Amino acid sequence: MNPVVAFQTLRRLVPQADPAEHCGLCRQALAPQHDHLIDPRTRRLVCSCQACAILFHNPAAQYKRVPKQVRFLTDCDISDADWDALMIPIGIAFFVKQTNEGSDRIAAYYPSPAGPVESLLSLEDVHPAIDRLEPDTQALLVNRAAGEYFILPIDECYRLVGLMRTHWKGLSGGSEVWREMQLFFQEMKSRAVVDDHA
Amino acid sequence: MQDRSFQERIGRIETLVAEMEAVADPVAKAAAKELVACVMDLNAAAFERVVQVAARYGTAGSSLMDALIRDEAVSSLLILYGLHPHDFETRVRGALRNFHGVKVISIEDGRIVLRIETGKTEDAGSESAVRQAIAIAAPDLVDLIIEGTAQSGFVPLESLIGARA
Repeated sequence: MNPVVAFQTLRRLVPQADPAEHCGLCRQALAPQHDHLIDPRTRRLVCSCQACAILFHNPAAQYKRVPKQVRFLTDCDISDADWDALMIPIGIAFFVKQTNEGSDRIAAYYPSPAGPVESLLSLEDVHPAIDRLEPDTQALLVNRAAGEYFILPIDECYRLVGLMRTHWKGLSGGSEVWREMQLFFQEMKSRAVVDDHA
Repeated sequence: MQDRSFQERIGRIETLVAEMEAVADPVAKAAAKELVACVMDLNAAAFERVVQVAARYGTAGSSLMDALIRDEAVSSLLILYGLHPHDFETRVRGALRNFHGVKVISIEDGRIVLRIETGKTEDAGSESAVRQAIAIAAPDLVDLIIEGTAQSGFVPLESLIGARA
């Protein structure tokens, strides 16, 4: 047995020494529920303590604080024709308004077993709800199968992508991944406030 | 070679872990996992004490540690528990000390890129020897790339001239 393989075998057995996450800015240990900041230039999420999250939340800062609120939209629907035009192979996608050197663009992503895939189509007029998104930190999440639409924090979209990556099995994904997706949408619905945009 | 049995034992552990993962009963599986974790935790704590005690004995302590880390089994476990006195790069460079004509291009995040300078060593034999030495000294490596070996398809001019002479 190769020493490198042997080492990896042993490493998998070592108990997780310190599962706590640390603030990406000040290294303070974090509770399982903590703030996230996003760097709009790289779109990387950084775990953050509350003090750093408040400190860095201003328009000039490198990072933006990701809000926590989830809104369930009741006034939102995308027609089949509009949806088909996006050529997204699965019924789940999220839309983000991204700022890049002063100009805004709408990007569409869908989760895949290999990570998030960006749709290359132009998506300027998908839905008016997109105008209500806070740039970079919020997304419009669409679950076509259930006809559900959410405005939610971008870190939850990253989590959804992570669920798809870790639970996908074989060619079709298997039942486990779809159960996880279902649980995710249930959780979002229970956390959400209803937004009828009235 | 005494280390053979160490590698074989880990091979056996690998098989048993796979069997444990296949157990359908979730309670039994969780108990087995926790048992392994507890035993390893105890091992790690004991190793840590050894290192701490050795540190109290100055030069004698460091000669003891030097002797211990020359043992593959001890060295692997010290690395595993984050107790090895030498960092990754030091271990890799140490393993290469006996090889001539091996140049370190980069060592970064567990990824090692080396170049074997052709003509200076008996290439084919030395590449596997280099790989073996590094795997033992730095089993926590992520990737090892060796440039300039026969597999690259590049035939050095000297070897052609040498063949004709």
